Amino acid sequence: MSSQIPQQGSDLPAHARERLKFMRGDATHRSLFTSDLSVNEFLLVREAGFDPVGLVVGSSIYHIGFQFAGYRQNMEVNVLTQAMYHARELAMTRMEEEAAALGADGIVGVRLEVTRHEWGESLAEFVAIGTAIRSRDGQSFRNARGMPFTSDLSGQDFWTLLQTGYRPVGLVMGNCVYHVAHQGIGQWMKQVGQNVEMTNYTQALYDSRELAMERMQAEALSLNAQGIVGAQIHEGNHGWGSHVIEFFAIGTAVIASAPDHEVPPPALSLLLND
Amino acid sequence: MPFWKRSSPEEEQQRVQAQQEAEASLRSLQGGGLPTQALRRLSEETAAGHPLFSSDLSTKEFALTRNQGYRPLSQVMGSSIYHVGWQYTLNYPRFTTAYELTTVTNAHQQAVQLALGRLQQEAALLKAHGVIGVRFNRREYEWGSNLLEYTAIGTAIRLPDAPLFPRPFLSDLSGQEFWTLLQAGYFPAGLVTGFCSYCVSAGWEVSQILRSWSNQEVAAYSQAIYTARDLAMNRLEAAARGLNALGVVGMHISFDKRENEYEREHDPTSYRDLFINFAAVGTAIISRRPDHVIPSPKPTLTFTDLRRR
Repeated sequence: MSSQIPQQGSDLPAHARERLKFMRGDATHRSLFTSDLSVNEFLLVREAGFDPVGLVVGSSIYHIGFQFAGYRQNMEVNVLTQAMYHARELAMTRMEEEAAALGADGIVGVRLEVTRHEWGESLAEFVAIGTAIRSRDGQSFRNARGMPFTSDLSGQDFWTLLQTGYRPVGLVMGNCVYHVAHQGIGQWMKQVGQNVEMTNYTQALYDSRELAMERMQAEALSLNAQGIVGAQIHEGNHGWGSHVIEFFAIGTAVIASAPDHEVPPPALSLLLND
Repeated sequence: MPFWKRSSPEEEQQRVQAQQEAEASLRSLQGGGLPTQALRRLSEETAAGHPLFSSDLSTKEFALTRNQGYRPLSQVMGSSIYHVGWQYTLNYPRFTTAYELTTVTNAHQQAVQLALGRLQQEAALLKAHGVIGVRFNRREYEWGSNLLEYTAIGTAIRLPDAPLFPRPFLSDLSGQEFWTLLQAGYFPAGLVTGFCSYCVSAGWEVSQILRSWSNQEVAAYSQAIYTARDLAMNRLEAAARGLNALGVVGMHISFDKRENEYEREHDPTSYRDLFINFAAVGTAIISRRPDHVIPSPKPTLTFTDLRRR
């Protein structure tokens, strides 16, 4: 029974291991891949010299703690920031482990989702899901940590990125949960009826976005990446009341795989489709 | 930290430091500047010589940057949350009156200027030539009526072998649009905006038209929509002329109307106001080369049905 309980980032449930073992194929089983790639994506990934090896998932159900935040104070809610980050990381690590068990070089099309269930107030489920791929010529594409790279690139984006002489090293993320101060009567009196910038609100949201971006960049640097493409900033409120907001920055860290980055100029074309 | 635990002296010191930083940020923001957190991130990046670029460019946009030789430096942003002041509207008018809601117009214009100003300051700190791929957003928050937020997030880029401009250019162009524009020998000069909030308080003659059974143009309304559009576009044009631009491309126009009907006690008449909001955002361009050779596009028919997307 104990083997079915996923331990902190070090082991996978027994069923997952069994599934992955069958997918790899052995003397009695033929290997089989599953994927959530579309037909075009599948062909482009093949064209880029990779084979899909299987759909991989990582999941973590996390109990999110509580932190008291001053009613009139702009501040980062560290407990929530850490919870949201750690839970995502657990899900990502488990997905990477599944991919490693399949002998994959990387994962494309990663989706990272947070869902709340009705059966637990402060519980949230974090799921990472993507398609593990393996390079056909045996060259290792693993990242600085020796784990398969992760990326949220579609098959098309992955092909294009490789064409430009870059390769993904990992999905990098940073987050910040921030408590936006409530407005005092004094300030309300000063601005009533007037056109003014709400600098305290601007500062709160600006700071938290910056913190999320900075953390994402720090994570990319730790992977020895040279850049981040497709960075997005999501804004979320996970049922903490309207004054607590999470900013979540996510992007794909890339590293040069060829010295020159010559890209053939695309031909202009005009679609005749409606 | 749960609230029943006492904080240690270090934590207390951290808290005080955080508070001082927040106050410094606020002072900077009040002068239209950047908060300290942003200043720190950008100046550290520039000092370290951009060891890592970050960008909100998609892979395809990124591939195009490599093709033309410009390179992304960092993701930059500007944001402003603005409180819209009290706006006088005419009540119970006898005759149809049309007027601009200047407080609302100015609020939009100023909030956008603040957000774009900050975006430009961030790019200038990075010694960038300009900002492309700007995602320009307007939104409203739950906590407070009459609040609006403008956020502009884009990627600062550096051009190959070009001297730094006095101010980095801003644009509302995607990576693809910027590439095509450069190919054709044009260059963005800046982001220009024009707003107008306008109101028509209908008098008896308009009410009569609206109640009647005959086909008839509501001239007062047509006129108001024309005027609102004219005012906004004039402002946008004035901004573009200020930049010595050749023209404005990539326009995004939003236009919404809202009608408000109200009544008065001991008065059989129903009064109605028509609110018109017109916003135009575009990129002013200048010519970079005398010739503008545009390769003729090749007609393509894809087998994918794009209508289903």
